[in-house]
Amino acid sequence: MIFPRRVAVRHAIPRLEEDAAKPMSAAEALERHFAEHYEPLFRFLRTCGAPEPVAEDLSQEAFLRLYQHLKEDRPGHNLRAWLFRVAYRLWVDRCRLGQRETGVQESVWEVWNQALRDPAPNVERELLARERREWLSAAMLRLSEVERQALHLRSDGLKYGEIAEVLGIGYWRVVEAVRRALDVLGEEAHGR
Amino acid sequence: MAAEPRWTAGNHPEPEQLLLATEGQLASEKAEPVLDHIQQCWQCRSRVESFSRGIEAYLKFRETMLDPAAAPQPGGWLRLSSRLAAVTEPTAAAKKPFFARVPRGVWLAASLTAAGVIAAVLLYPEPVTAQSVLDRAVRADAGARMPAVQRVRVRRGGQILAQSDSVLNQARIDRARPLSVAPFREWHDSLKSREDSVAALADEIRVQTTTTEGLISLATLTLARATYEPHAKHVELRDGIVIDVDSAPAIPEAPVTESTAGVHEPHPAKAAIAAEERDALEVEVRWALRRIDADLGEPLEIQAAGDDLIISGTLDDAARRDQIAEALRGMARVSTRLQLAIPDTDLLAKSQPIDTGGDLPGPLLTSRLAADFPDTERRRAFVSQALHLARDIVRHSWALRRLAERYAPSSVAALPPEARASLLRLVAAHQSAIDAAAQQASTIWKPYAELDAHAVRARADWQTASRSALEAAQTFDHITARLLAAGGDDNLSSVEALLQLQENYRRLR
Repeated sequence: MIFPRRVAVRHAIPRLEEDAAKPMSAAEALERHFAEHYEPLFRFLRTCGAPEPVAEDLSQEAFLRLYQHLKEDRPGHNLRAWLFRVAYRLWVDRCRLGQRETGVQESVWEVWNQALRDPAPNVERELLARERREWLSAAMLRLSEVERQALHLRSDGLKYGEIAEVLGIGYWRVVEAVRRALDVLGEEAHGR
Repeated sequence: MAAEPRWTAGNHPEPEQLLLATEGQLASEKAEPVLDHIQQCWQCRSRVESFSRGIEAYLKFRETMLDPAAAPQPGGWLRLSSRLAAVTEPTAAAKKPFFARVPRGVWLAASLTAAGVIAAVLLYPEPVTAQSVLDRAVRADAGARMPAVQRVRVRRGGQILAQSDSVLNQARIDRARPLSVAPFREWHDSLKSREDSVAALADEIRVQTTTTEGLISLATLTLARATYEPHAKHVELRDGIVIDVDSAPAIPEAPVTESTAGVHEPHPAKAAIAAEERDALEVEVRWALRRIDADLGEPLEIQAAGDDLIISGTLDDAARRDQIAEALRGMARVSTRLQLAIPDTDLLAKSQPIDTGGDLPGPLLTSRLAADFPDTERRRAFVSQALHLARDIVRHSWALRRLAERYAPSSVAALPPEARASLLRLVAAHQSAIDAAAQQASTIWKPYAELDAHAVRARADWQTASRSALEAAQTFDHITARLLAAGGDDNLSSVEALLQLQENYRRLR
C-alpha cells in the first residue's frame, strides 16, 4: 500500500498524535524528529567513540537522509531505530574510510574516560555519593564495547530486535550482551 | 489436567529468557510459563531482581555521569538547517535529464558496486564462505615463512592485562605462534551454532565468527588477500577480556650479548618503532608497575634506549626484584636492570642506636587515646590504621607527582590517543586510591577532627594540582604521626595539630 505523502509523514511520528490531524511538510516533520531524537543520537555516537565534531556531523547526515526519506514518501515505520541504524552505519563507514581499526577503541575511551574519571565539582557530587560513583565506574569498565552499546540503546528504549539491526549483530548476541551487562551492574550494586 | 511445569527445581529458564519475559519482549505463550516459574522460584526471582538493580545502576550512571559528558553543543538545529538549505537549493537541477539529476556519488557508488560484483565473480568463482577462506588460510599458514614478530595484547575494559596461559588457552591462541590459523579453524569447526561473516577489504579478507557457545563470544581473523597469510586476530571472551594479535615485519636477530644476573635482554627480534610507540609502551610499563604497586616509591627508573625501554633500580629484596622482573617479562622492547642492594656489614656493625629523644613530649593524643581505647590492642589497631592510611595517601600522591613531572600537559597532548587515555586512567587510579584512603581517614578521625569529605577539587590541571597535593599529603602524614606516634619539641598543641590535620586534608583533595 502506498501512503500519500502527508499520511506517511504523520504515520512516521506516532508520538505526536495531537498533530495527526494537521498537515505537515517534510521539513516540519524533520524538525519534530530532530527535537526528539537528535540528543539521543548524538550521545549514542559519542559512546561509540565518535569525537564531538564527528558525532554532530554524522547525526546531521542521518537527519538529512531522513529528510530525503520523508520527502520521497517512503513508509515511516519506527524512524527512531531507522535513524540510529543509519547513524551507526555512517560511523562504521567513517571508521573504515579512515582505515583505523583501533581508532574506534581509542576514541571510545575518550568519552568514557571523561564520563568515568572526571569528578567535576558540581551538583553531581552532591547527588551521587563518591563511593557510588567509584563502584559504578569500576563496573562500567568491566563491560565490553558491545555490551555498553547495547545497554545504552536499550536504555534509550530500543527493542532488542532494533538494537540488533542498529549494531548489525544477531538478536541473541544483543540479548546476551544486555543480560551480561545487567548481571555485572546488578552484582556490583548488590549490597551497596 | 494441569500442564506439567516446564521448569522444576534445579531446572531453570535461561537468564536471557528471564530477561526477555520480564521486559515483555517474549510472545505471551512463551512468556507465561517463564513468568509463572519466576513466581515460584526464588533463585530466578533473585536473578530478576539483580537485573532491576543493574537497570537502576545504569540509569543513575547515565543521568549523572555519561549524559553530561556526551551532551551535544547547542545550535545543532541551526547548523542542520543551513546544511538542509544547501541540499534543497538547486531547483534547476530538476530540469536536467535523469542521468544528470542522479547525484554523482550515486553513479560512483553504483559503478563501484558493479565493478565490485564483477571483480568478486572473477576472483571468487566459488562462493566465498568462512569455511573456504579458512581452508585456504590453513594451507597458506602451513607453508608460510618463519612468522614475523607477533604482538599479543590482552585487555579488559581498555586496560592491558598480563598474558596468562589460561587466558590464551581460553582464546585458543598458541603462545608460540599466536597468529596461527589452525586453532582458529578448530574452534570455528567445533561450534554447533555460529554466525560467520566474510568481508573483503582493500588488501585483506576478514572472517568474523560469533557464537553463544563456549567462552569465546566473537573472533576475527584478518588475512592477506593475495596470500591468505594471517595478519591479525581479535578474540572477545565472554568475561569481557579482549585479545588482539597482530604482526610486524621481522628484522634480523640482534647478536646475542652476554647476560648478567638480574638483566633480561631485550626481545631478540625487535621491530623498529617510532618514538610515539615507545611512549605508548612506557604507559603500558607504568600500568604493569601499578598493578604490583611498584610505582609507589620504589627506586625504579624508566629510561629510553633507542626504541627500547630499560627499567632500572636497586632493590633490597630478591623476591620483590623477581616480582617486578616477572611483571615486565614478555613485554617486547622492555628490559630490566634490577640490582640487589648488598648490606654493608661493616657499616652496620658500627651503627649506633638512634636517639629517640626520651625527654621530648610524647605523641599529642596519648592521653586521649588511652582514655578512648583502654584496650591496648584496639588502641594499637587505631594508630596503625591511621598511620597506614596517611602513608598510602603520601605514596599515591608521590606517584602522581612523579607522573606530573614526566608528563607535562604538552607531553600528554603529544601521546597517541590510546596511550593518552591509558595515562589518564592511571592518573585516575591514583586519584581514586587517594580519595579512598582519605575517605577512610575521615571516618576513623571523626571522634577527634571533622575532616571535610566534601572538599572541592582544585580546578587546576592534575599536573599542577599534584605539587600542592603532595605537600599536603606529606604534612598530613607528619601531623598524623605527631598526633599518634611521635614525640617532638615543636611546641605544638593537640588542638593546633588537629586544625593542621583538617587544613591539609582539605588540600589533599
